[in-house]
Amino acid sequence: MNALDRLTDSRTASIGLVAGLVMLVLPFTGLLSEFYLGLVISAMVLALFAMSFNLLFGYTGMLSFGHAAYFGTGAYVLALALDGELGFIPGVFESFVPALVLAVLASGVVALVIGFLCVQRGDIYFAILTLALSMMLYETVFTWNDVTGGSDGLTVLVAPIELAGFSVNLVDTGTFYFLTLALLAGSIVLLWRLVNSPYGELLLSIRENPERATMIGIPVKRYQLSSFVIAGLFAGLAGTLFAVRTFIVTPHTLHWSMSAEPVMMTLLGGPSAFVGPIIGAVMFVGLEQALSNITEHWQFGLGLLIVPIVLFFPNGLVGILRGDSGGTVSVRESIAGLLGRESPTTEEDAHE
Amino acid sequence: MAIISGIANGMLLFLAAVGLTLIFGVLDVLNFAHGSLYMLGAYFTYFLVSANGVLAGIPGAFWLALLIAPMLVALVGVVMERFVIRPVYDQDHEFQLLLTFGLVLIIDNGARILWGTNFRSVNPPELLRFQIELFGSGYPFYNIFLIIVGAIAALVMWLVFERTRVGKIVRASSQDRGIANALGVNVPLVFTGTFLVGSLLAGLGGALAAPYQSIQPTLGESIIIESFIIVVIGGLGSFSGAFVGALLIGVVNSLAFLYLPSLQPIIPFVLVAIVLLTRPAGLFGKEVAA
Repeated sequence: MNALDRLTDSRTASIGLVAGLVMLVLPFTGLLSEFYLGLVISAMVLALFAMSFNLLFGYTGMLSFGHAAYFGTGAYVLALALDGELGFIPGVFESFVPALVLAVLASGVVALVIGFLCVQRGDIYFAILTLALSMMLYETVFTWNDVTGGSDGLTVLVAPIELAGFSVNLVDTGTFYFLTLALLAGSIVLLWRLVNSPYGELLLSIRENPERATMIGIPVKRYQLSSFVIAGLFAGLAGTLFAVRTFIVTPHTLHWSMSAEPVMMTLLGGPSAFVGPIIGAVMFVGLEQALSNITEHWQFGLGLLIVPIVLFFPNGLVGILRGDSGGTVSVRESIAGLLGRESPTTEEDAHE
Repeated sequence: MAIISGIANGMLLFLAAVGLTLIFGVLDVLNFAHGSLYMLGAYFTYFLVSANGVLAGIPGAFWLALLIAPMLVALVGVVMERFVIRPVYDQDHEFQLLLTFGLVLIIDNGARILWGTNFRSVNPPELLRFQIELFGSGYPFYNIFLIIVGAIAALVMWLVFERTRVGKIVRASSQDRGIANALGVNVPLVFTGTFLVGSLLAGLGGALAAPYQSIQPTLGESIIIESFIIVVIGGLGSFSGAFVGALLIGVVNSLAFLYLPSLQPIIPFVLVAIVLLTRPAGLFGKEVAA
């Protein structure tokens, strides 16, 4: 728990409410062209993805490097369900809402299987395994041409939903904006409640010291697995939204570079705060847009950003704003080191 | 036949994985960018020996490249260690992983900027460009060459670490850096040296791989994932584990390629799952509290 999370409920609620209202009226102000509205949608979808990742990283202390597995599963299952051609998914799911539910549940199931294997080993093994197993899923989808369309992927076409006489067309950017906003807002509320519940406190205690948690009788692996599955469900939801937004699902949604995105967003924003991943997602989308305007090799620039961020500002932008650089190394020290003058710090200092 | 290809491939994987496991064993740092060093080894070789490369036309260019490319990679490795990894020795593994992940982005995309995304290839040297008769059919000698070089590298490393004073110092530093330091071992130097050797091996693997597989910027990511699988199967930090794991993955891969081509990409991962569920510390790993 940290200062930013400890804001009183009423203040948080009012900030959230204001933010929500701003987001609600945003499309009507005419400030944003359809292109920028699209970017805002991307940021919202990725914010959800990053928040689901940070439930694992920031709250349970597990670095998942394969988070795209659930994102991609959500996207693919949605695409498969909406495509009535496929016999093995019952026709009931062809309309949007049941397909969405199916896709999210499927992501949870995949997270349960992968998570069960991964929580067997802690620490870096966990990161390696999540990476390896998600790449297995990627390879499977890539190879299984008949069902997944191989490298071409699947197209996603959402038929208009008939709702009380109205026809809601999700292909329309404006309409989809509100759906995304609603689902994001709902997810934020759910996740907020979750991490501030006794369950969330338990996760934090596991992050801080798994051995001690085991000692006092907490079934650590079971809690880790449960948070893994919850994270998988939210990642799957983000994946379905991504699929509807891009109209196409390709194996890239399962690739490790997709898994890297929430990691970077969380780092940019700050993994130690609830809002960190949201801020990070906004920064990431902005950076990606700005960098790719300059060069097609925008990932190179991203790499150049990550190294100093991890070295000097592991608490991200939130950490900087909060005034605790909290760096693994301080900038001054490091420059002294580069110049060959090792600063006389003890190991204890380095840990602080 | 498939088994020989598998062993040849396994040797390349071994050269990549052993550096990873060496660096982890001694420095306790998991270098995500290790596969990128392997990729650099292949690109440097291409840079040196291709038609308009630096060494083009010089007799024995390939052999020179086999010497120079790993050294260049080792240089990159030492710079990495000195400026990026040294400040975080005592940090959580997660942060080291994230840091080296940033390096992956820089190196992989750097290669993309320098050499483009097209496949590049390097011809094996004249001397090795022949087929040998094996079990009644022709077989490229280059694969046999890979096996020989890999075996020599493994033997040399084993001898150095088990039989020499330098090996003893390195093993001492890996077990307790504080005590080693107190006994007069220059631990930072040992660490840098280890990183140099690990990078050198990755570079050698990449250089050897240059005529064997096509070179492209994604080479690093496929090799790092396979290396991770190998060290998980073998036990992270274990020498013999890396060797056996690499051969296992190499052979299983090429057998699967022959008999179960559609399942081939998945089989290594199935192996990981089986090993993990039965022996969580890996085949040769020491049992530690999870």
